[in-house]
Amino acid sequence: MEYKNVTKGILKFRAHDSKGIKKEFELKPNDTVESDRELSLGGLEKIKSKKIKESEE
Amino acid sequence: MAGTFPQAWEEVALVTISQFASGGDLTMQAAAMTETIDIGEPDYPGESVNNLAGGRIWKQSPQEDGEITLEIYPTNASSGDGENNLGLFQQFVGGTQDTTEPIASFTTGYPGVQVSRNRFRVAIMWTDDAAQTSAEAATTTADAVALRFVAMGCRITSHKSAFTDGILKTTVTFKFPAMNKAGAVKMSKWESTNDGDGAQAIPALPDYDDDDSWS
Repeated sequence: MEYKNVTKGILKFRAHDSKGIKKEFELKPNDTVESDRELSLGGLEKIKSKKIKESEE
Repeated sequence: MAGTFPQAWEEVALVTISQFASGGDLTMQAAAMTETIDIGEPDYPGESVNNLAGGRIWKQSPQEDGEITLEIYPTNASSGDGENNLGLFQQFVGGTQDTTEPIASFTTGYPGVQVSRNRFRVAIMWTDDAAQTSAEAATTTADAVALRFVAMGCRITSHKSAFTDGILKTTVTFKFPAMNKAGAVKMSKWESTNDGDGAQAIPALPDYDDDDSWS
């Protein structure tokens, strides 16, 4: 899943990356992050669901 | 025209908490996990000093800190999205928030290094405006009435959880200074309107990206 920082500031948070490894991210406004699971943090907007779903569509 | 205030504000309120972040804030709704609210505005103490005429001279002391205490029913450690109502575990602990399951609060320490505590702006609104969904938002409906208290620069100084009544309840205290460091800004305010649209509306609070500014 891909998420975008829709705030005007830098978001710092911990999350699993696309390979399932938990690490710290620092995301500038409009930058995106990929994760293998759902992210829940105000200011992050989901812009892409799981890749498997995309290929099925 | 103007609306009519009720005889008393009862039962329900909107509670919105924003975590300070430069450039943009993290806002969460908290009414659905909250049972009680206690607002302790900063005391302004003082005492009189006897003078030789037998009179009294008032000696004013500096205004003290204020406190907002919420009793909440948290369900998990997720920091949630905009519609939070989950809990304030990570917000209290501080550090970098965990956003993917399984969630863990921050456990890293930095020996000898000063780490800033999270700061919050807490807004509580009582209103009869059915369109209102956030205590931070502007009122928008003609003749609607509303009362709002807002405090900024709040630190969570106490976060105590209890299961003594057979339900997990957490008492969370937000403490805020009466003034900002420069002494130019009062850190809390009350607002009300008897006509919630147009020029008489209670305005929206801006993003909490400046920790001691109302604009």
